[in-house]
Amino acid sequence: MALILLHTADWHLGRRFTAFPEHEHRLTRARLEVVGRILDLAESRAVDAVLCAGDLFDTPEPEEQWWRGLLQEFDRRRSWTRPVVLLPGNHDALGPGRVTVYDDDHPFRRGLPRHVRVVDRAGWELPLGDDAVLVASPCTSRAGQTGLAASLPRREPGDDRIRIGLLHGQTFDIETHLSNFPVPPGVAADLGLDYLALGDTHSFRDVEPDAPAPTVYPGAPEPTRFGEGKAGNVALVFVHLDRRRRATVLPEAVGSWIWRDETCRSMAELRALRARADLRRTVLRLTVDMEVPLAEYDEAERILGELAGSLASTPRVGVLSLDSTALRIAADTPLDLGDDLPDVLLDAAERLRRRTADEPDTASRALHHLYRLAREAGRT
Amino acid sequence: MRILRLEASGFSGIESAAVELGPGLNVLHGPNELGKSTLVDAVRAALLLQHTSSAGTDLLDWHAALPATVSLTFEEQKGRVWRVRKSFGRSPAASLELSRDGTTFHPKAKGREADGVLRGLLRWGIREPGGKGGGPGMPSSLIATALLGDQSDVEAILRASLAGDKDVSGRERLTQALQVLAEDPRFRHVVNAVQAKVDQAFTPGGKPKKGANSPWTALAAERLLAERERDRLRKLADDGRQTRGRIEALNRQLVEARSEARELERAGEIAGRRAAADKALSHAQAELDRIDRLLAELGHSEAALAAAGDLAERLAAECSELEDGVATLRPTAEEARERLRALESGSGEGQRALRRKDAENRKLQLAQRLADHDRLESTARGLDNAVRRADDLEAAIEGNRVTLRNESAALDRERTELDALRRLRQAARFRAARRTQNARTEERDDIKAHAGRADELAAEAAGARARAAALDAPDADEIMRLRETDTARRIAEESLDVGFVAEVSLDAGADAEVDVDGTAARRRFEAGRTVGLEARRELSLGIPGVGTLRVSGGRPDQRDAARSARQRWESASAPVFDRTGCGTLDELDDLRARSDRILDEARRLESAAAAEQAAGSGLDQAEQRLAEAAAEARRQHHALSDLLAGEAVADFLARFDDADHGQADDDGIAERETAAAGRRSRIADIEGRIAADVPRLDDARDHVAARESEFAGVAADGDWRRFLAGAAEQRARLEEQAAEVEAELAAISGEATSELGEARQRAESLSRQLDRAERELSDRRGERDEAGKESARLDGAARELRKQAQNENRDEAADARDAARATADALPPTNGTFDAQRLEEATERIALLESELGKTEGALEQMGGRHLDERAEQAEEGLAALDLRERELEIDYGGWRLLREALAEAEKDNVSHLGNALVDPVGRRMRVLTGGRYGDPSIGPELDPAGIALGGEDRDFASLSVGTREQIALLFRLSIAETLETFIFLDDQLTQSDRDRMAAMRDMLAAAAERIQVIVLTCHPDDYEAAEPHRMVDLSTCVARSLPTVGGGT
Repeated sequence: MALILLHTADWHLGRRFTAFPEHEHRLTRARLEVVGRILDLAESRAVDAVLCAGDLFDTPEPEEQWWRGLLQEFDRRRSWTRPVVLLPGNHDALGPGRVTVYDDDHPFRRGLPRHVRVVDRAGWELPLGDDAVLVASPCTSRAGQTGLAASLPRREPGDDRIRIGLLHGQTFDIETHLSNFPVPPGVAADLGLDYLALGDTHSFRDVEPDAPAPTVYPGAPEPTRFGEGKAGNVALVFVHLDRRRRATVLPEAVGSWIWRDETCRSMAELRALRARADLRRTVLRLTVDMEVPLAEYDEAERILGELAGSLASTPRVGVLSLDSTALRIAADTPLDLGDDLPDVLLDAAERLRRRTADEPDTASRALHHLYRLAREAGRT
Repeated sequence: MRILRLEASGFSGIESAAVELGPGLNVLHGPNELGKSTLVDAVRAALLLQHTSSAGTDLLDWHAALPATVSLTFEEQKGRVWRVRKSFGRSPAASLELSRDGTTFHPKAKGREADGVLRGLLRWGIREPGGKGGGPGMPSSLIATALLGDQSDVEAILRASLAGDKDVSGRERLTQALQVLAEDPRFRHVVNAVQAKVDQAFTPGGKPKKGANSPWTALAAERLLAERERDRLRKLADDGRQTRGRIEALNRQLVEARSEARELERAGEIAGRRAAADKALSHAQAELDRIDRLLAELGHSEAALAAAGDLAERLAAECSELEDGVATLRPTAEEARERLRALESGSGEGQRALRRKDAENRKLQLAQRLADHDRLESTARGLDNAVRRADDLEAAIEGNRVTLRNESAALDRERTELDALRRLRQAARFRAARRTQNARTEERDDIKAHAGRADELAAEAAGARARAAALDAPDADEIMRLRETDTARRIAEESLDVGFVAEVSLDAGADAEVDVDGTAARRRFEAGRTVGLEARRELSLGIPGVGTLRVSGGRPDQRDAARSARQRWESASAPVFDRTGCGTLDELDDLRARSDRILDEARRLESAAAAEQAAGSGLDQAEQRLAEAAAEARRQHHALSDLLAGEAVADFLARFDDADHGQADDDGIAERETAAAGRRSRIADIEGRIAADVPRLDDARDHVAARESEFAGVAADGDWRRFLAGAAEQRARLEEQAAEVEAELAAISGEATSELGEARQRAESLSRQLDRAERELSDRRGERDEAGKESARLDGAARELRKQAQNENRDEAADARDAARATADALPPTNGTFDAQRLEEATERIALLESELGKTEGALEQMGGRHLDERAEQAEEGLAALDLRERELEIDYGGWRLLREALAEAEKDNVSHLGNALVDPVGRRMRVLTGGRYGDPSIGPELDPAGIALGGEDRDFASLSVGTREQIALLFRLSIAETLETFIFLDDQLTQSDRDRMAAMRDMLAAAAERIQVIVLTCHPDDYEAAEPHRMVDLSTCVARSLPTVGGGT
């Protein structure tokens, strides 16, 4: 027998993606959509509780559409009895002198079903049946140099219940380097916890794999930026009732977007990229850094056009951030513009080809413009 | 531009003239001396000569009282007819008038202004009147030379150049015209597209555009917002970082302050203990040092005493040894001095002087013999060298003669091979020309085939149209109208659809005809049984022998309307159905579709026929190209025949395919020719060397003979070769003898000096040894006495120190010092001395830092800490994306701008060479004229003709015949006139052309006259009779001479 928990964090509802103005809505919307999948997963796995470890909103007082959207997700499961625990993190911190969605009189807080609980004070406790108890402390500011773990009650002698901790903060701690809400090493064992659920870091991480009580970041369920290698998961936690074994922690994928940072240095790589089937749900930061002959430059432009899409064509890549400024025409490229072009156009092309040595970017582009216009002129 | 009318009076022998000119080819003919060239002079004067020019007096007719006047009417363009009138002589005048209809003229300018307007109108490269550099006489320019060439210098155009124009207007006009002529529409398409792109993003001055439609604008606005947000967040994040840094610094200071305080407290605690221990250690160490110094002093004193005793003993022994040595040396020195005195008194020196004299005489004789020998040897060696040089020269001459024979033979072989290669190359050229001819034949046949196919297709198309017409299908509108009529009928009939039931009950059974809504059936009715007949519109029940019951639905008006609609339908549809054989509207649709398909097929066939017709056009041109190709093939055949020197071309060609063609191309032959030229040069060089070496060999032989005679005169044995063979041996013998005499002389000198010197040296050496020994003995005795005194003093001092040392205990003092040191070492270390005030200050600083840290942490919590960093990073990412878009935009529009520059440069370079645009029209005509013998002319960038291709080589005009030069000049002029779309005067041209070329030129002029006005002045009008169309003007009917003709040219 085991206590089953779904541990999630860092939804960052309402987060903006200004680097992708044309696709921003898709990425922001995805953050709310994934909450529905998380709750469905909780239901299908019959978990005993859902622990949401902070930064559920990107700001303490997000626009209404975000908290309203979340309320709707909870409303759809109003018949639930399993507790869903919302912990304010540093992004959506509680705090004196600041309005937050977690305030008692906020429509969000008031609209929450009974089974959805907000951790609104330090040392907050919630029994999870007769055999387990959850202890938690919220962030009450956006930055804090004092760890919140110290505010959690320690296990009392004779208390054999499963003890779960829920916090938001950073586990790394270098002397004289200030962590935000630091979580010191070994704190789970110190506090007598069987599992410490954390939020803040966006990649899935079992912080102390050899410790008897796991300290875990589930990561953001949808990535928020490039480089978050293990984002897109929640943690399913199985805490054995006899407490003699280390709790089992399994990452479960729920994210719909993959963020990739790639560089193509040859036409072969670019062609292979175009052929990939998983691009529709990929946020791709693509750098094209290669020198190609004139004819292949044209092909490269065509492929990049297919990847990016247009008003008339569906993009092959979900969200594309393209840097093709280093796509250049080789200085010694043959000018295969057709034999019947007037000499003056061939002359202009030769001039541009010579200039690719000094102005590779601009001259390459100019040569390509000419190439396309010459073909167009040849057709008309 | 074309000339409409020319009038002149009192003009260089013309009393009066009035000539009307038409469009196209105008042939003005008349006999010699009639004044044809004067008419061209008049046109020149009217258009070019300033009315006040002194050259105007040359135009006066000295037999006429009136001034020379000329009036020229010309059409600049449709609706703009100009008339220029000028008078030259005493009362010069000029006027320019403009007319829309060619009848009513309005003055536009007078005097000098008229000249100025006219030149601006023409733009022929003639300077404005009154300008500098115009020069006297008739103004000239390239265009003037081309359009109004002088009969006396028909080749003037071949020496002309735009560089000679006094004004740029001619160049500008030609550049404009040639540019249009040369410009490819694809180039213009590209230029326009590129310019449109550049205009989107840049102002005419090259700066980025700022308007709402500029691609930069939206991006700049986005950037502005993004930068503001970034700056705001960055400032907040910086503040946060500073606060965090402040906290970190405060933490560090707090750690340091606490550490310092702890150190200070500990230092105070142990400072007292350390001071006492240090004092005890210092005292013990001082006592131990005192005892050590006493013991060391005693040791030094004992050692010095022992050393003094040893020294005294050693000095006493040395004195004894020195006294023994002096006693031994003294008698030996006396003995040596005695022997010296005996030697200095001896004799025998006289004998040694005689022997020395004899030896010196022999030495002189031997030196003389050696000198004589060297002179003879030198002479003999000179002879030997001279003979060797002569032999070498002879061998070189022979070697060059052999090389010369080999090179000559090789040259002959190469000439043979070169001739063979030239034949092969010519054969290849002939084959190529023949292939071209075949290709042209195929092209001509192909065009003919297309034309034939076009006729076939046109016939098929006509057949298809006839089939479609036979179907007589109604058109779509007609079918549509029928459908409307049918629909109206059906709607009217539908209104009768009321639905009813007729119950039939018969007393006696009967079979009846039942028609329900048009569907008839035979039915049995049983007696007494009621049957319900259900209908929608109409029911008919017919019982044979009883009667018929007919029931209809609807009101009477509805039935009338339905009837009318049915009648309209039948009257409209019946003729169509009868005509077409169709029975339904759908069948009509099918018929219409079938007819349309046939018509589509007809149109397709017509289109194909048109395409074939287009492909089959240009038969005349193809025939012309075929004729040119055939002419070229014949020329190449002739050239090959010439090279074969008698061998039949067919025989050679039969072998041609088996021959090695490896180097039978221009490059290979040029390479061979270069090699042969090099070989010829080497042969000439060798011949020159041989010619130069033969007299040098004769001189060398004469020189040897003279030197041999000279040697025989001075040598005992006249054979110099034999002398030279034994010369070395003889010299060695002489040198050996001289060495022997020299040794004898040295021995005599040695005998005289060695014995006396040895005795003197020994005596002096012994005296010096004795003196040294006696001085050393005296020194040692003094030192021995001093050492004895010092030893006694040291013995007394040592005894005193031994007495003090016996009272001290060093081990005890050392133990006491070690104990004190151990006590001090056991104490903890301190950094400096304890400072109570510093401790107090550190405590206060700790309190202050803790307070400051608390405040700063609170401030950081309020600001947001790392949360702000994340948002600032997001803003930076957004800006980076904008940077990328901006960079992409810059590259894209930079590319457009760069492309525009490249196009402009290329265009400039391509059109600046004006000559290129005229090469094709002149060259094409020249090839037609000469059957392909001549190729393209070479025309410079300033339209300065330089030569023409003939037989693959560029030829200078001077090397061509007069007739050919005339023809080239005319074609060049004609091409310029065509380019400018204006008239051209040809005054008695082509006088040197043969009949065929004359005919060809006439045809070309006629063809050109379809586009421009060509005015030919000739006394052989029959040369142009065949040209169609043309306008013949008999000048004798419109020109009156003022003087009788007296012969000579006009």
